[in-house]
Amino acid sequence: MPSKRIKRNQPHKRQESIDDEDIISDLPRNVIDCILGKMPLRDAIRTSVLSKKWRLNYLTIPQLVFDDQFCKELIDFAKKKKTRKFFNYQFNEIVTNSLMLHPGQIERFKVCIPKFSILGYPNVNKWMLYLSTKNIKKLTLEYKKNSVRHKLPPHFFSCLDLTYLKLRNFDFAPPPELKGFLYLEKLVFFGVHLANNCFESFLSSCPVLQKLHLRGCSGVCHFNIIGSKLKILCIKADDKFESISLENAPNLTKVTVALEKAVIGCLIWLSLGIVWLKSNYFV
Amino acid sequence: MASSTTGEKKILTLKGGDNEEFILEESLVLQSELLKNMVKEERVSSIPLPSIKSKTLVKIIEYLKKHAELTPSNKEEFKNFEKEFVNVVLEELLDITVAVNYLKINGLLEFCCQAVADRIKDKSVEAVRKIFRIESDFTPEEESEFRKETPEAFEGDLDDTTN
Repeated sequence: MPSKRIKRNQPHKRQESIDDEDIISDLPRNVIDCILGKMPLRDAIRTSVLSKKWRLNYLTIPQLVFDDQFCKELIDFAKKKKTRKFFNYQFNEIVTNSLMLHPGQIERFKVCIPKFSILGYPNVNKWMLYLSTKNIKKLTLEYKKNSVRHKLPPHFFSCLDLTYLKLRNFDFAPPPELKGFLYLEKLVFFGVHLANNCFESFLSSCPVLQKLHLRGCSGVCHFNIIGSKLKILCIKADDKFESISLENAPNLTKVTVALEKAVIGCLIWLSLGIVWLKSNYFV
Repeated sequence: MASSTTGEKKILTLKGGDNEEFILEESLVLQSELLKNMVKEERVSSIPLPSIKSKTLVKIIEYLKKHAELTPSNKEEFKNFEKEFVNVVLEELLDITVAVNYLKINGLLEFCCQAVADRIKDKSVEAVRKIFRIESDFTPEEESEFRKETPEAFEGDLDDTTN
């Protein structure tokens, strides 16, 4: 039903704001944080010289994103200065400082780590330590170089409030004492090597996991997924991957399995639930 | 006055800042966390929103209707609508953003903030000051000192226009 609009006799309209009045600096703080979080970090940093009110605004952005674009701009800058070391130093410095100077909550942290010279290795473990004290919810850690896999820093396993996790080019070997990520809803692994026999038990320690994406992962041939919350499962081109067995997954609505080559004996066991197989489904 | 034929749909009146009244289905306003709580907990049928200009409220109601009609098949159309929705003069966009924040319509808040952010992105400091009428209270020495702290943020081609 369309809504009706009733016109009343309008009182004299309030005068629009005077022409030279600042129209943004006094917006509610969470709105300013949200606006700053929606632009590349470089643009947000530039707002720090607008006026005294803006001086520290960019430091409290709840999302810290150091993505490919951030790297590209920094590399362009380093090229002008003709020093690669400078880039490494700056990258590390900017990420570390943004975390150390951050006074509030950090909701989301994303970093795409480019190729580094040995001299300027990034302080990933230190970042994780800070993030774990900030109750980080959404975390993306990516190493750009595909041929090398990196160890997860020990403090990573202290970030227990994660709801979203994406890792690229890591070795994933959770310590035996890890109780699991109790709030994790979405897990994305690209090029991650899964240490033997730990992935299944890790999955079962994520009780609210709804979405699982694995692409180009290795280390696991067979695994059982036992989870009543899982809704979406997507597995692509995983080495040596032979079978998945799903047990007690009544919420599963979408399964995509695409293997590089169909492996004989690849078996997908769907015991319960309505499953819609999207494409590239080899048996 | 506004009883529906089915007798099922509840009707709600929103009163904008200049006393203009808007009558709409209660289900539409449930997208706003603030109004949802008011409707559910206090069972009100008329809600005064004196801090929101009627012009802004018209826009927001227009969005709520479109959003309520969103289905997988008209996604594209909705996207175009959203694009047009934020294609307004800056003062109006900021009014909508603040109102949406107050009403707690989270998806729309994110979208409006993105639209404001897009007007700052790639602009020079001077242009941003002009666009939002921000007056610098730094001395030129202070400003150049601060710029030196993060030189990479000020490098490259930045847009000096206020468009």
